[in-house]
Amino acid sequence: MKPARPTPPKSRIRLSFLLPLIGFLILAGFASVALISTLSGTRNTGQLPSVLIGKPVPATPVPLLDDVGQSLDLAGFAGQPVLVNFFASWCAPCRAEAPALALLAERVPVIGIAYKDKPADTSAFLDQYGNPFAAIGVDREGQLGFAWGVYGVPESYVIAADGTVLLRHAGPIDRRVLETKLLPALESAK
Amino acid sequence: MTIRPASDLFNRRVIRLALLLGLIMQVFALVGSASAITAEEMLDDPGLESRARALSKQLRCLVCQNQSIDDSDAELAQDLRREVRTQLVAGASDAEILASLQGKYGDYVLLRPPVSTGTYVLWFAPVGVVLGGILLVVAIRRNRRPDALSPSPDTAEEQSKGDVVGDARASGQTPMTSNILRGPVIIVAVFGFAASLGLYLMLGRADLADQPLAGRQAEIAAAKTAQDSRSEVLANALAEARQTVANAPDKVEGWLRLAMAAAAVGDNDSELDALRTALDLTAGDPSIKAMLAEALSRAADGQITIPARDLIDQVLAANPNEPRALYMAGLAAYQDENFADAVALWHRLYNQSRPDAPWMATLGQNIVDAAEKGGLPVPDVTASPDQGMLDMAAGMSDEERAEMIEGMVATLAARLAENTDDIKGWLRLARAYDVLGRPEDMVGAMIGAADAVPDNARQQTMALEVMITTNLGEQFLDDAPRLLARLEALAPDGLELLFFKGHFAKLSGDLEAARRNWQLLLERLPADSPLVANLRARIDQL
Repeated sequence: MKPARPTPPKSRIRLSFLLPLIGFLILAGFASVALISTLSGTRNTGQLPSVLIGKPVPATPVPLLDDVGQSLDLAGFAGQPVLVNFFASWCAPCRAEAPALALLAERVPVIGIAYKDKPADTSAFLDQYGNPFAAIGVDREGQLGFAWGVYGVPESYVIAADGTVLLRHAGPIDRRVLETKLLPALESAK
Repeated sequence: MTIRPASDLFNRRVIRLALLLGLIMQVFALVGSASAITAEEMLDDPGLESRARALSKQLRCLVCQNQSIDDSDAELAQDLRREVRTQLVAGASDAEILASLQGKYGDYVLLRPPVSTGTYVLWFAPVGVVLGGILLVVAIRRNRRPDALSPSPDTAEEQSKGDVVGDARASGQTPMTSNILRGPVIIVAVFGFAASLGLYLMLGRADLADQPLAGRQAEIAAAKTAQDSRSEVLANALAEARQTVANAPDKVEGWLRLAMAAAAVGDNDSELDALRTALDLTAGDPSIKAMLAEALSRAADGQITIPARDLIDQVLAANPNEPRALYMAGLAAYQDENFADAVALWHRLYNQSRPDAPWMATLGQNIVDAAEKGGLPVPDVTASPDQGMLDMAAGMSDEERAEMIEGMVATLAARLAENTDDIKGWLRLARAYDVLGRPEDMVGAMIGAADAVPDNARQQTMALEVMITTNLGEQFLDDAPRLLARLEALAPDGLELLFFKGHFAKLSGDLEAARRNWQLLLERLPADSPLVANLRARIDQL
């Protein structure tokens, strides 16, 4: 005797099976792209894109640490790439990146912005951890930081020779950041 | 027949999913909002203030990233709240304020993402998912209907060949049962989708302000109460201490108590004042000086400041073993990245502290940390006094104890014979031999340690040093040249090197080389060095 029940046509199985599968594959595709780029370091979830990229740096006047009567003039460094570093004596990661800044200072002028810090504390910090900066601006109230969109210290900006922002790195500069981000950016800024 | 269970399963899943979605959304609906805003931030004008609050709820705190600036306690959130209020007072419109912040921090600062090519998926995916689900149901139904009502070509063929009655029963019954169930199932499924969509539009839309869990409010309130009662106790203690010193301003204990009470509530200035007064009263008691140094550092977020360093130096000059000052001197060296001094100071404290002192664990970790950072040999602190072993040893007779130690040493030595790279092991073995009074073996272990880290100049120096201090140089004339060569390669300018070279040249009978090296050393030593006389005597003896 032949089987009593009709065998189901294949097309129905395929549809009810395939649609969720396709949906799943699309989601899995998104997830794996995100995962792979996170693991390979091209996508850093901790880094927010800066609005300033490609734009000239905002001109908010701040006094110099050494001479309160004068204000920091970034335009004076035009014609060469510079690194602008927002730091503070109260910021622990800023201590960690001091050696990296010293290394960078051998290649380009590094300009420090003491963010929400007492000038006396800033000076003591520099005495202790070294002063790699070609000039230091005092951003006592964080106004300059606000203009730059700084959302935490340390933050470092690579400024191209024409005075536009090339790159922003939020967080301390470690070896990897130095080698894979900042040095290549400074190289391309020349 | 075969299809029905599958599609039933599917429908059941849809229903379950819809219910789950509904539940999740309800949870999010049952929320209020907690605000981090403080009274002094608020504007006097209630109209402006309510606009400020509304705007704050639409702005993301870039530090916490999952809270609005209205919710967040972060300093940046505070700054942004202030900025919003400043602009409001200056007469800016809501849109202008949002735009100005977006211009500084990018789209990310807006909790309601703008519709742009980058956010299409975010905005339209939920709608797409619901539509896709409806399409899926329709597609399955369409696929099922012709099959359920009339047999497919395959079955028709089979039917014509086989048992007609059996097939008729099969094809007749199946559609009947599934038709009865199908209606309600579809209705429930469609209702599930509609309910999800409705809930999403009402509560889950991307443009709604975020709503943190109100459930936390009770918890936060409880924590606050607990904290308040604790701070009340502390405040009372402080007031009491103040009263005490007011009554008896010449009692040092009162001032010290006041300092402690002030430290407990974080009132650094009062603490410093109290300690300074206590210091004056005692005419510079070293322990109080050390406390003052500690308080100064605490006021500077843990940095050992220059005034604190002065105090520490004074304390150590008066009492080189004052534990607090020793610890802070080590910390100061550590902060200067002078790891060798940090290790030395902390190790001194470690060795003079009772094994059950509360700071031992931290101190041990600090020592290891500093030694590793400075690339120095890690002193034996982690493996030392295993309390269990010591307790056991305490209950033994001398012979038993010696036997136990000998056994442990033999095990260690055997292990090191196989694994010669274990520098920590060699140092531990050397120490054990030292304790057991076996200097030759001790020197041997130190040579083992030097061989384990041939690139470490300090370890070579230490091994050569113990050869000389134990007066066992002659026995190790085979090993000394190897260590000397390494030291010469690593630190060719070291003064120790000249001394060692001279010493071992003398031991191997080459007096001329000994004289040459020592003479060279003599020239390079500062004239007032205490070593000069000693070295002169040695050269004259040659």
